[in-house]
Amino acid sequence: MRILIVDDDRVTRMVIERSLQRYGYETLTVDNINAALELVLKGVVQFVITDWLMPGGNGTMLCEQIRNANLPSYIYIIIVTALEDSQSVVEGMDAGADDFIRKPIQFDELHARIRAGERILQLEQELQENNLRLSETTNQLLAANETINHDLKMAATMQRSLLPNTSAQIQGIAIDWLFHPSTHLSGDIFNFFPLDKHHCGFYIIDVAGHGIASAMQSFTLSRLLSPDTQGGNYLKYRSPEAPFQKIIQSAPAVIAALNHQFQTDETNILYFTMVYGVIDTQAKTIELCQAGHPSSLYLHHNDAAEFIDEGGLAVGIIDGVDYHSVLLHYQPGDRLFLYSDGITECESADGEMFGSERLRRSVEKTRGLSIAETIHSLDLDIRTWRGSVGFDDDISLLVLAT
Amino acid sequence: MVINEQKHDDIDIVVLSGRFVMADAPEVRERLKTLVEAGQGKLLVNMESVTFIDSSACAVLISAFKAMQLKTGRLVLVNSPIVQSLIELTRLHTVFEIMPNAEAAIAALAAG
Repeated sequence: MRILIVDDDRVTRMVIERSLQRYGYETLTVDNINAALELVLKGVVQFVITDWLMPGGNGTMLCEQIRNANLPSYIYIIIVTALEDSQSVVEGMDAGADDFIRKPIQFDELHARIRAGERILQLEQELQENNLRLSETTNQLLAANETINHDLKMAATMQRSLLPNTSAQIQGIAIDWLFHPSTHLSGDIFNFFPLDKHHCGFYIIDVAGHGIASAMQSFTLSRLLSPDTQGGNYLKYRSPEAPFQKIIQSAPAVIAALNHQFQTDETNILYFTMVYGVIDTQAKTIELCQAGHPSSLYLHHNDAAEFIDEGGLAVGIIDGVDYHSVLLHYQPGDRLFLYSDGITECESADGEMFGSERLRRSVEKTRGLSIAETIHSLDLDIRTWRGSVGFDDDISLLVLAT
Repeated sequence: MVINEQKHDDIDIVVLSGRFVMADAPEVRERLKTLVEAGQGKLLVNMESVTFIDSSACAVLISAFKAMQLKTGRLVLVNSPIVQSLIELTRLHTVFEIMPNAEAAIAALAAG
């Protein structure tokens, strides 16, 4: 290690220098504090032994100037004071000196004090290295986090783009919805689309759990349940007999097919609940099949809101179970509400669930409102119930207005 | 949530308490899987003290139920009223074997 000796007395400098060299230290010597400060600022030394009283500025000034310089590495300072001068020790250490030694110098004592200083510098260096590693790791984590967040935001935008357009009616049926993923991505998905000239289909799906795995499943299902693909699919099949028209699958057949294909197993345990419906806009009927999903709410234009309770098991649990549908005859002005359990199980600050009865009353309150106002009113009720915290589970609700 | 394992003769008993949600699902899934694999095909999951159960937790129970069926064993549940009502919402009560209390569940498993 290199040690800087600051003393205006040439003989003292030489005596200290020789003694330190004997202990194996490299030394630099100067006779005033300005020259000393210059060397310290250059980063040439990290260890300073300085006399207390010197012409042109004493040790206090040197200590203060070194400490005020905010150097990247710690500088260890020992001051040399006269035996009877205890006030200068106090001043020196207050000014930033680390240790002191009395004149006449006992060199084995000085050596011990230097070794103590070396230990401090060693610790300081290790600390600095650790800090550097920590800040490198933090930077890497921040960068990784930013990448992940960016990816999630992009995926969230994609997911939203799969949701139905609220501005256009299909065969006179209007739709609006609310959608609040509990994280960036949701395990909930829903859609509404024409199947042919006088039929349209709609569904709501809630994949178990929430987050990325559930969202991946919901993306897959959304693609599968699209009426636009060529040839047969889940929603329509081509008749085997002339004139080979496309025939619309019944709602239970759609769900039964999904149930067969999406059986949960040891690696994929995410079942899902869903409602699928086919509206015949000529006959004015809705064929509704529910699978483990919270009961849809039907708001009659001239009668109270009622739950449609008939339904089967959630999808993916037991292969081959039967699904049945109910046939609803609608009149203009009737509305159908589908929603995920994130709404009914949404807890208030006191831990009370929103519940289906409160939802029914909220829906009843929307009578006479436009569907945009209806969604706004329901959103407000649920948010007010929840309070200021975010949602624990994905929230989705859609309303179909005839 | 707290997970506590007990044994009653050849019946494995898992007692869960508190909220059983997504954050707890991986650990419970692993524990149940181990018990289904190593046990005698008799498993009781006691949720009398569970205050809430979400769909991730239901998925874990179904996974254990299916694994148990594969080795022709029995998985029996005992539910708190809130768990029972949440399970009924998804109609899973039609799948699971559910007993009113631990004594009845142990007696059923011991007999069969």
